[in-house]
Amino acid sequence: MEDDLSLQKLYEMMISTFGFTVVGKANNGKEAIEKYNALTNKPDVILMDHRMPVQNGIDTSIILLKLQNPPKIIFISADKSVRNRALALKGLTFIEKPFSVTALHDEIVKVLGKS
Amino acid sequence: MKDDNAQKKGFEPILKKYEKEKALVLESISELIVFQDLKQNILWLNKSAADSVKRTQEELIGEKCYSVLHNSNKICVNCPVVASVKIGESTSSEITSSDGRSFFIKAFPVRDNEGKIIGAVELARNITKLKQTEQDLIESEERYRNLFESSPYSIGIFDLDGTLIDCNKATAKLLSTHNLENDIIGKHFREFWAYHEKDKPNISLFEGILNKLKKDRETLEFEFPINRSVGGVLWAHAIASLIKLGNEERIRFIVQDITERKHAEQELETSELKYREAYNRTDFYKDIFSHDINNIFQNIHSSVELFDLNTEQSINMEKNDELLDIIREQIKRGTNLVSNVRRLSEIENKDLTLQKCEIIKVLKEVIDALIKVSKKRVINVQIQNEPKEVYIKANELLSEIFENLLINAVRHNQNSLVEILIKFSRVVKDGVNFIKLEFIDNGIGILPEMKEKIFQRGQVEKKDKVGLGLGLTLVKKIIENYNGQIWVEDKVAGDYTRGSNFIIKFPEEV
Repeated sequence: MEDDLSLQKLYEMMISTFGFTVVGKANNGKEAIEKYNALTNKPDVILMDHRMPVQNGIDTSIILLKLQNPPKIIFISADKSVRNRALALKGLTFIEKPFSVTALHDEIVKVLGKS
Repeated sequence: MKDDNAQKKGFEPILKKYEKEKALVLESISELIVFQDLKQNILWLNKSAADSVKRTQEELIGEKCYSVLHNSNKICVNCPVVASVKIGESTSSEITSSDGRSFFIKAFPVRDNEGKIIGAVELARNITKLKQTEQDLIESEERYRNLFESSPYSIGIFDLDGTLIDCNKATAKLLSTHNLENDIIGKHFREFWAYHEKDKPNISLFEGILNKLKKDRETLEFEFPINRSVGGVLWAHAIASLIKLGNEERIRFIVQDITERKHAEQELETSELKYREAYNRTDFYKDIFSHDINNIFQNIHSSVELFDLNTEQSINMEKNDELLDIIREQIKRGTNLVSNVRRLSEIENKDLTLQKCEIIKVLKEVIDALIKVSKKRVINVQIQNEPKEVYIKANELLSEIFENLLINAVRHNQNSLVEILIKFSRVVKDGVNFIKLEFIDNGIGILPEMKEKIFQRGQVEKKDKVGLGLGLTLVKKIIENYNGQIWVEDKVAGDYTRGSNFIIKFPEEV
């Protein structure tokens, strides 16, 4: 979930380089929830930006984490101020922008390994 | 004869008894009683009259009235005795004796059996104390009137219905009037209060003050705006209290002009607000800037890393051109971000002079530059109803408007062919001619709930921060500086996914 179209494209490239598949993309939180609910093949992990139009990453995560089988969420933000708020939600991890390709790879592997 | 004498002798004891009783009655009266003949010779006087000059009754018989009372050898000018003899009726007047005592004297003419005036009786009452009390009252009234009038503060006395019944000269000065009687006395309290339009229904204001004073029985202090008779409003600090004037309860207002202080406070408040806003704005721009610049770095950083990875491992080589494009695009984005922050700061910190500008030429220069720098995108820009020349009042920031709108139309567009239609038209509103420009694109569109928010990023109170750059904030600020308007609609009403239509209106210069 990322409203910056260039970053969205880069995430897609990185994820396919890691050998994973992108099952869905969204420009804002509201769109993300609609798409998530519509997917039959739910994602193993969601990369979540915070500052997005319509609905931000924190509010979107709160909704997703309340689901019966909540997805794994990696919260990615440049806002240090939202780090504590995001981690307080429990059930997600946090990466601060700017991050390296390796850091993202390791975080995805770590999160998937926990499941 | 013998019988008459015998009869007289029989009455004598009775007459003597009457005489004695009459003398007792007259002597016991505290008022001074003097019987005088037509030449003011004292024929008889009671003890009170003799005591008043500290002499005996016997000593005073035969003396002149004016000589005894005034130590004078002339008849008093306003002697009531002389007057009563002259007109044949009772008269009265006030006389002050040579030792300073005041008497109220009433004189009655005395007639013989034939009705001929033979003298007069004067009845005098010592009113020295009464006169002194009167004088004290006058002096006291004068003293308090002086205090009232010399007060540098306005003092107004209102009755309990709220009508002004008295006020001092400072009140006239305060309200800039010379005629207290005609201009302010008799007016109701609410006529002085400078109501704001929204306060007008609040006519029970005076009743509110009165009720509070009656309830608390203490002075009440408050500040309020006053209407001057000559127009304009001043600010006053008032101390209201209930006072007793005679048997009546009144409200006294002591009012001080605090207009200067109030203006200074307001200026300080405005200044504080201005600096607080400036501080918040700076903080806000810092926040947006750091967020956006971080995203730009993230884009460049990830692109470079992926490029290196692809090159090292000879994989996804076809993606490398795309990664280089992202890097170039992000460099442009960073440059624009810095430029927009600088421009916003310029607009907010100084008054930019406007002059007559021709906009077609500026627009075409921006279109040419856009096509030149966006070589990787296929862009088709059409202009509809293009006028030969259009003038508006603008400045060097005009090109920023077109540049931001056109860059957005390209950047937020995922089609292989970017289509932009610029439509010109003219509209008249409230007698003003406007030139209307519509920038219609086939981009990703703008969600209905975002159509207003995209222009509001400069409003620091909006906490719902989103990452869309500062371009449209800048555009809106510049347009508002030109007395114009901007808003966005769907290219196809109701379906935002088909693209956007940014509409601008500028007042046209003829």
